[in-house]
Amino acid sequence: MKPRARFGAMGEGCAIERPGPFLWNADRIRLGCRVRIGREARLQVNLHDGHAVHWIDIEDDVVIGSASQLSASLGITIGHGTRIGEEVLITDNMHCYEDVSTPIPLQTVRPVGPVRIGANAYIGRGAVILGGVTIGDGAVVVDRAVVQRDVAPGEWVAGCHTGQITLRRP
Amino acid sequence: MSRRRSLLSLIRIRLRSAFLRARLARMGQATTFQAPGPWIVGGGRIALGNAVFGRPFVRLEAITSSRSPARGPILTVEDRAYLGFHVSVFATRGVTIGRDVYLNGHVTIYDHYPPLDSEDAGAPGPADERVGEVSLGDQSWIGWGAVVMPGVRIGTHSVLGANSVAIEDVPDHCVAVGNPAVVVRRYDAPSKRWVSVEPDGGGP
Repeated sequence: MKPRARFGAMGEGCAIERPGPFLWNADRIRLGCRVRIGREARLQVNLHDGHAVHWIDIEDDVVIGSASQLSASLGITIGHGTRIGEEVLITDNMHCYEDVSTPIPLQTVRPVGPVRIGANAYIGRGAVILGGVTIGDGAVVVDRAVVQRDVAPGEWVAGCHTGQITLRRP
Repeated sequence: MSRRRSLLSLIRIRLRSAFLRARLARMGQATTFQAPGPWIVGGGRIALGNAVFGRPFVRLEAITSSRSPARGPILTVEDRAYLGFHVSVFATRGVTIGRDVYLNGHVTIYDHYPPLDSEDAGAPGPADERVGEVSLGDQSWIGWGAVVMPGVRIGTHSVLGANSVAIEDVPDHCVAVGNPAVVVRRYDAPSKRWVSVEPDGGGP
């Protein structure tokens, strides 16, 4: 089936490379105009009980690199002109692991909070954006950073977990 | 039309599975890999358990060298393990992925630093430390893009965070994050609660 038929909405001039994209519940994914999605990308909307709204909203001129994954249980919004590198994970949910008597894969996925990425931001290669994070306009997430907190507009963040640093303040 | 297509895809899946089984030392029942992939090197020394599930673009390499054991599989994936997108495993001494292990996308596991056999001064560490068996305990969960380095053992029911690099062992029932990975949470069995671990403030 053609991608246009699978997505909930798709603007003019979009370019989607094959193989891929791997889509779950693509009718809840909306693409703007001139969106480019690299090969082997994976966009999935997880449908959980008890959560009314779940979507992936990608505005105009967004570029998503190859082998990236967007996993939405609540919602992911990407502003216009944002560039997302290769192998990036953007997720708004976490896997539960607390019950030690049950294997982790059999435990549920816990929605954390919607992810909002502003306009003209840059997400470097291999970065991970976790749930509930808001990234401001023009912010830069350096390659292979793990973002667990809000990033101000124009801020540059690098590094993962306890080693996280701000390279440039707005 | 759709029925015919589904029949064809079923035949294709069965054929792919049969070809894969022929290339591996052992492949259990109900083990499936989504196409494209997996890419297999040295399949004669790779053993997969039952109901292993692999996403597309998985790479499994068993590279026989002078540091490999004489016989037997050097890359073992046990029952019900899940291999996410673009998972790469490179084994020469021994990599064991336990039962119910969940590997997220882009996880890389290797048990040696190349080159294996030449006396290369540029490789890190003494020669015998460049190779070590890696084992991932049952039920462990490895985050997106994490790397497990040679000689590291991940405990049972432990979590390794996204983009973390495990350079030393992670005990059972722990959460380790960072590059290099440090334990930040552990399960306290007497109180049956997960407690935060304070960083000890010093070096190792």
